[in-house]
Amino acid sequence: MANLIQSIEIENLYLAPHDKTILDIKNLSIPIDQITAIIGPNGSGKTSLLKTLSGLQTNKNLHLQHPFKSIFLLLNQVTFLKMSVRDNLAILQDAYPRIHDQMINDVLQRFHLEHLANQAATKLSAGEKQRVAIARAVLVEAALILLDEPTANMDPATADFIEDQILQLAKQGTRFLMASHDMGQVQRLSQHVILIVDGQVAEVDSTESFFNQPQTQLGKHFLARHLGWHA
Amino acid sequence: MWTTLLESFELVLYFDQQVWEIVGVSLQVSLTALVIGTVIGLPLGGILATNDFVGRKWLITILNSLMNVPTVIIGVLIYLLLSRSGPLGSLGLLFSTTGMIIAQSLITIPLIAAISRQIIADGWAIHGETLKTLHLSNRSQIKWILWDCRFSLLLAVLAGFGRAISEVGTVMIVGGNIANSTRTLTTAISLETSKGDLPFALALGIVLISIVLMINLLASVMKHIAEKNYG
Repeated sequence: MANLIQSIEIENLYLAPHDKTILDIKNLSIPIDQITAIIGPNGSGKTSLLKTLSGLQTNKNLHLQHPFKSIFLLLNQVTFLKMSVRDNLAILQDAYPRIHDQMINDVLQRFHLEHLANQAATKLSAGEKQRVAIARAVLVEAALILLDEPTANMDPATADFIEDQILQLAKQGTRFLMASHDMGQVQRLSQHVILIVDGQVAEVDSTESFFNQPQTQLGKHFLARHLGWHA
Repeated sequence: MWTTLLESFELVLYFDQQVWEIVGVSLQVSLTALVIGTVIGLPLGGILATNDFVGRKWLITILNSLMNVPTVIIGVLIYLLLSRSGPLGSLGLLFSTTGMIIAQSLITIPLIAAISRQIIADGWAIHGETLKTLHLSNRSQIKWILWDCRFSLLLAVLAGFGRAISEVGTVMIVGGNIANSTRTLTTAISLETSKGDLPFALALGIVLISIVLMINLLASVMKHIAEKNYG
């Protein structure tokens, strides 16, 4: 079943803490088919854009419009409390009383975490932590999941597992907006890309079109650097 | 000197009734003040560490200053409040254990709040963003950050207990050092030393040091076991 392309409309996004401009976006329409990728050099504002969309950061005149009932942000540096994996999931019951123990068991099983359920979450590997983090998003049944470098510092097998889970969820209707430096991952997973350079949107395009024929000089420049792309 | 030491150990080992009565009053007053200090001080530290509001910096400065106010001054203030001509004189709390508990609570609250604020602020710097992404209420965020810092917060509570049980000036002024009523370990040590009954003063000192050592040892073992399990 084909997904309807939905979009997030942003107006007047200007973030400049301590007089340093992080993001300066007048208007932006982010198309989200299943998975949309935000790409750009380090410090270009990708994470700040995700934080703004999740409500973690904001500015005075910002106007956001989207059809998603619930948005869940998975930070790159996701942290866990000094408790078991199960308890780290169960704290969500404070905000979402509909989450019951059986649902927690189900996600633990889905993400192959049942054998780690009673272990300290702080002692998990990076890959296991990311599985617990995505399990949180699944538990709250988020309509849109914002991912910040979902497979950074992971071994290929774990990264593949995470990508498979993202694809499965996307097929089931969950939409994703994902910041990534991994251009292979962006091409494998996303249908659209947004290129951000120095806090400004340089290009919004379909993934296929962007990687075949970027429309802007900044886009060509970015790909030349990352993939040795030449027009 | 050796004779004095020997006599004091005999008093402790043969469970001298007078010694244990004084120990009872000391523990009753200090532990009650500790519970009050913990119940008020920990959430206060949590609120100051995790919220940004007008006057927060002033409150922190006042709290840190209160931590260093000589306890006899608090004793005098409470004495003025509770004395017959004072605003709370009609309650008849002067020279009672309740009055001593009030005075010691005023000593433990700022101490526990100030130390816990620093501990929680450090924890908040690590987990604050993640907890916000979970859409937890402010109260729930504080609850979980307190829980996460529980092992370190034990130190704050221990510091409160140490301050309460070793305090002399306030309990002497507010309690009046009345035998079989408001006499605590520290006020009794002070009195017996001035009377020249050194074996009795030393016996009380041995008990006081033993209590502090045992509680610190217990807390240290608990912290070690818990950190081993949960990181």
